[in-house]
Amino acid sequence: MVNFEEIVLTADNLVKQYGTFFAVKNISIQLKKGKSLAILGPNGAGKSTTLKMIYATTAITTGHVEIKGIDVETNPREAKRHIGVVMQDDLLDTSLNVMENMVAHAILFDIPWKLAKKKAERLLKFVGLLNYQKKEIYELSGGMRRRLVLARALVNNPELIILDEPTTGLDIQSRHVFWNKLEQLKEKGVSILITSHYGEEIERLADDVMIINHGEKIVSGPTKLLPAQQGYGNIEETYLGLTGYTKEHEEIEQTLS
Amino acid sequence: MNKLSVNGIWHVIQRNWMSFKKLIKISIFPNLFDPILYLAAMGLGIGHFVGHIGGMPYLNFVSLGLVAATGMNAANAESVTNAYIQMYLDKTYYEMSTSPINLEEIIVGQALWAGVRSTIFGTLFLLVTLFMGILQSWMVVFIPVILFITGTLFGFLGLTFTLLAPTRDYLNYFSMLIIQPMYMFSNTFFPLGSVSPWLRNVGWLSPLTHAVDLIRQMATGAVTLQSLNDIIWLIIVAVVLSFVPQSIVRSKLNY
Ligand SMILES: Nc1ncnc2c1ncn2[C@@H]1O[C@H](COP(=O)(O)OP(=O)(O)O)[C@@H](O)[C@H]1O
Ligand SMILES: [Mg+2]
Repeated sequence: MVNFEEIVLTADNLVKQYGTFFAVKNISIQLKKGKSLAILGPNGAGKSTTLKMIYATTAITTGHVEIKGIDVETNPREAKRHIGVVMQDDLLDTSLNVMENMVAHAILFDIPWKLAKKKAERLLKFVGLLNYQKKEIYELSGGMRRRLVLARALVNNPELIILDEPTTGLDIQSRHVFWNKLEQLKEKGVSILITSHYGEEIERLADDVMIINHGEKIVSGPTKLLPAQQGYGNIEETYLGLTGYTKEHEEIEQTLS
Repeated sequence: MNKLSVNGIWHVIQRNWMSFKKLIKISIFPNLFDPILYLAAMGLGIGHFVGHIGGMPYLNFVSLGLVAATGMNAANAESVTNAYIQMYLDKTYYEMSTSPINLEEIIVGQALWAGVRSTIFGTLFLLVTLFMGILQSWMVVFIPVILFITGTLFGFLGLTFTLLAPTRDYLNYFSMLIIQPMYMFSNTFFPLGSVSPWLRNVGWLSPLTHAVDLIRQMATGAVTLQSLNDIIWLIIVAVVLSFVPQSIVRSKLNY
């Protein structure tokens, strides 16, 4: 049985400094099994940097991250076995076809070729790409590429999946298909950490939401309760209100365009 | 520095092989065209006037030099052009580093893979010389080993420059100012020592010189104690060079 009390991710007071500039200032996150958290913030707010510190591709300036109790800084190899990452860019290998992209990633987790292929078939089926397994990357639409990246992130059966603006730039249909897959994963007990610009996406997928700007947390709380607590109607209004995007801005932009 | 895992390095090589095997057919020609061109111009053309050199017909002399040079060029292409694409354009290294594999393992795996490519293309050119009837000793079976060591060495060297290059243009400078002169002046086309002792000393600094000498010795069966020196020289330099890209990769690849 899934133990929904188990803590999958703890990030304490994460700070990232580039030279004299602080891209992330004291962000803390805790995520339980099967739960989901969305980080919402404008471009440059520090969303990607926060995620990169968690999935251990960028150094943590100060702070501490544990994935399933494993320290990401001292034991990144072990910690990364438990996570799947959907980066902001697709980063698919264009010299390989769909199936090969899956296998190429799977072998990095010590999964033997034959098993990698079996797993890849199952996952491509899950994201609706099994019939495209022989296709080259350039033959895929934007939505298909994103689903392939999702399938690739699942080859190691991660307990936590980290997604950086996974549906930015997708059409509405593709976005809904993608959300549906994430909901299915969540039901299976996979925890989700996602960044997003879209209120609708967050309302549908995230149990909790954290709004950040300039590297700092502004507010966080349960997605269902936060807008009312802050005196807004929904997540998008809360976000726009709290990050300083007021009615005035909107009018100025309308005049300009 | 982060610990290296043999498994991790092996997976990097496997992954490179996956991409490579799709392209092998179309990459044979470009990799062999260059040395064959030189072979025709130098070996047949100039050889017509030169006669014997280093105790063998000039054609043989040049073709054996080109075996090593072909290996070097293949390793260089892998660790410079291909690595640049994987580091900065396709960001394959970034994608791979979301798995348990770390950047240092990617660097070492990539350099060893450059060694494999050197072995593949150097050996293919060696087959050309086999058909020309140049190979005289069973010791040629060790030539692929020399190609591998040499290619790995150039892999680490190329990766260092690729990591240090501020823009893509600098990679051309590396190939033009370092690799190309080595290609010409490493006992490849003429024995440096017979031109001047000074040039011999300069040549000694070029890893390719040692590889070229070794391959000639193995092809003719003239392996001596000096050959052992050359092998040790190549291995030591490869090992020393391996630390450089490993120690800078994290600061340079700021994904
Ligand atoms: N490698 C880097 N070097 C210097 N500054 C960086 C680097 N990466 C990101 N930044 C800066 O850090 C801030 C946060 O970036 P990022 O985390 O990508 O924001 P977001 O994902 O929310 O759009 C931005 O101001 C960005 O310019
Ligand atoms: Mg971002």
